[in-house]
Amino acid sequence: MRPFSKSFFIAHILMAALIILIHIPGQKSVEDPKAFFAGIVVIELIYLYQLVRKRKSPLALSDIMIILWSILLLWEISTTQLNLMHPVLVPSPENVFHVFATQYDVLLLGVLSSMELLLVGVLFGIGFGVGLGLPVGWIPRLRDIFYPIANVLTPIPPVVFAPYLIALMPTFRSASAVVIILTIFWPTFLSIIIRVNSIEPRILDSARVLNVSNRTMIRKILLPYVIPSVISGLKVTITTSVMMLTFAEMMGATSGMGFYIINYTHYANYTNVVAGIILVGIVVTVLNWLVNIIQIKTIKWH
Amino acid sequence: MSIIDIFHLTFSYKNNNRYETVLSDLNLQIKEGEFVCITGHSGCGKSTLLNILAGLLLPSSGRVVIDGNPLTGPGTERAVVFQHDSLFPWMTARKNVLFGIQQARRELKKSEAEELAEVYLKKVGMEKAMDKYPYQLSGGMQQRVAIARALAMDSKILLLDEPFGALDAKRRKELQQLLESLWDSGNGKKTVVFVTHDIEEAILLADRILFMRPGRIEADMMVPFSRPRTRNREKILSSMEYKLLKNKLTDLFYLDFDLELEENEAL
Repeated sequence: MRPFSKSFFIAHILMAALIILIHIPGQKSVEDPKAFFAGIVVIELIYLYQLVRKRKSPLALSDIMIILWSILLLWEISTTQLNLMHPVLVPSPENVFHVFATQYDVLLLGVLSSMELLLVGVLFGIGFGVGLGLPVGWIPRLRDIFYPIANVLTPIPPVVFAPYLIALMPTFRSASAVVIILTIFWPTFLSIIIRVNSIEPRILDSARVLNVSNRTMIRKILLPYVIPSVISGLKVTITTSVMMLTFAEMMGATSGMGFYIINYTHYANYTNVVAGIILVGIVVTVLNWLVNIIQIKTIKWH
Repeated sequence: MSIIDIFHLTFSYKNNNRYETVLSDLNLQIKEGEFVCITGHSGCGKSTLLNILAGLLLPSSGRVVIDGNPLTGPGTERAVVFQHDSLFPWMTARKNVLFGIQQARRELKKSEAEELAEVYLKKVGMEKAMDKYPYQLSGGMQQRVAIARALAMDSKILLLDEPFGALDAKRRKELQQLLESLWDSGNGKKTVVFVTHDIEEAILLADRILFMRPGRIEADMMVPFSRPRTRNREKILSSMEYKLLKNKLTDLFYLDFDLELEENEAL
C-alpha cells in the first residue's frame, strides 16, 4: 500500500488552502467559520481512518478527496471570498455548517422522527412482503391468483398515490407509514414469489425427499433460502424508502427531514435547505453502511 | 419377500411435442435387505428409475409398490443421497442431520434427536466438523454428512444416485468402505438401491447388479463374494470371479457402444 501518493499530497494542499481561505475575511460577511472548520476536520479524519483501516485502493480514496476539497474550495471562493453568487439562493459554506452547529437539536429530532417512520415502514413492508410472498410463491393455487395481481400493482409508482393516501388517512404519520409500507411491500412480495419459483432444483429435491410439510417447507427451507436476497435488496429498498419518506414528509408533515427542508424552502431560507439536503445524504450513507454490517453479520453460511 | 415391486413401469415426458420414452414396461422386484447397484450408460434411465423410487417423478403408467403400499410421492421410509449438494447450505452439518431425523422420526424428543445426530456424524468420521456449514466442507465430507443424515433417518430403503461420482479415487474408496461397514453393521439390514456407472464400485458393493439399456433392464446378475468386501478389496479384485463379472459387465457396456457405432455407420 502506498498511501502517500501524489494524490495524497494534492488533497492535503487543497485542504490547507481551504482552511487558510476560511480564516481570511472575504467580500461577504458570514457566520463564525468554526463549524465549517470542524466539518473539514471530521471529513479529514474519516478519510484518514479509511486510508489506514480499509484495503480499498488508497489512490481512488485520495482522488475522491481531491474532488471533494475542490468542490468545497470552489463553493468557498465563489460565495464568501468573491461573492459571485446570488446571496439568497447560494448560501456560503460557513453559514450552512453553522446551521449544523446551532440547530443540531432540531435536525436530530427531525432525523429521529424520519427514522421512526422508516423503521416501521421497512419492518412491516418487508415482514408482509416475505411473510405473504413465501406461501403465495410456494402454493400453486395462491400463486396463480396473486402473481398476476402483484404484477399489475407493483409498477404503480408510490409517488402517484402518496398524496391521495395522505388525504385519505386520519393522521399524517399513519399516511406516511402506509406509503412506505406499500413502497417496500409490492417489490418485496413480487421478488419473493419469483425467487421461490426459481429455487435451485437440488435444494427443492432434497427438501421434497424428506417429505416436509408446507409449513416446514416455508419456515425451514424457503425462508432461509430467500433471506440473503432480501438483505442484499435492502440497500435499494432503504434508498427508495428514504426517497418516498422525504417526499411524503414534504406533502404535509410537521416533523422529519423532509418537513425541515420544505418548511425552510417556503421561507426561502436556502441556507437551512442546503444543510437539510446534506443531512439527508449523510443519513442515507449511514443507513447503507448499517445494511452492509447486517449483511456481513447475519449471513454466515456462504 | 420383496420390499420394492415394480410392475410394467413406463416413464415418458413431452419434449417439443414429442413423447420421449425413458423407461418402458420395466419390471423389477427387490428383496428386503438387498444391496442393488443399477448401472449403464448415461441416458439409460437409471437416474430416472431412482427418482421415481424417491417419489420425485411419477410413473406415466405401471405400478410401483413400496413395502406393501402403492407409491404416491416422497416418503421418509426412503432416504435419498444425491451426487452432490444434498445438504441445505444454511444449516451446519449437525443441523442438516438433525433436520432429517426430525422429519423422519417425529416420535423422538429434540434432545434424543440431537444425540442421534451426533452419534451418526461420529460414525461417518465428522465429529470434528459438526458445526461447519456445507461450504466449509470438501465434497467428500459433504457426502459423509449426507450419508449420516440418510442413515440417521432410519429409513428402510436407501436410494443413492451416484453418491461418490464427484469424488477422487481415494475419497471414493474410503466412502465405499464406510458405506459397506455401516450398511453391514446396522440391526436389520437396509435395502439399498445404488446408481453408479463405475463397474468396480458396483461389483464391490452390490449383492445384485442390474445393467440397464435405454428404457429396460438388460441383465440382472448376482455377486457372489462374501462380506466385508471393501476391506479385502485387493483380494477380491485379483480373484477369478471378479474378472469374469467385470468382463461380463464390460462386454455389456461395449456391446452397447458397438451397436451405436453400427447405427451411426448405417446412417
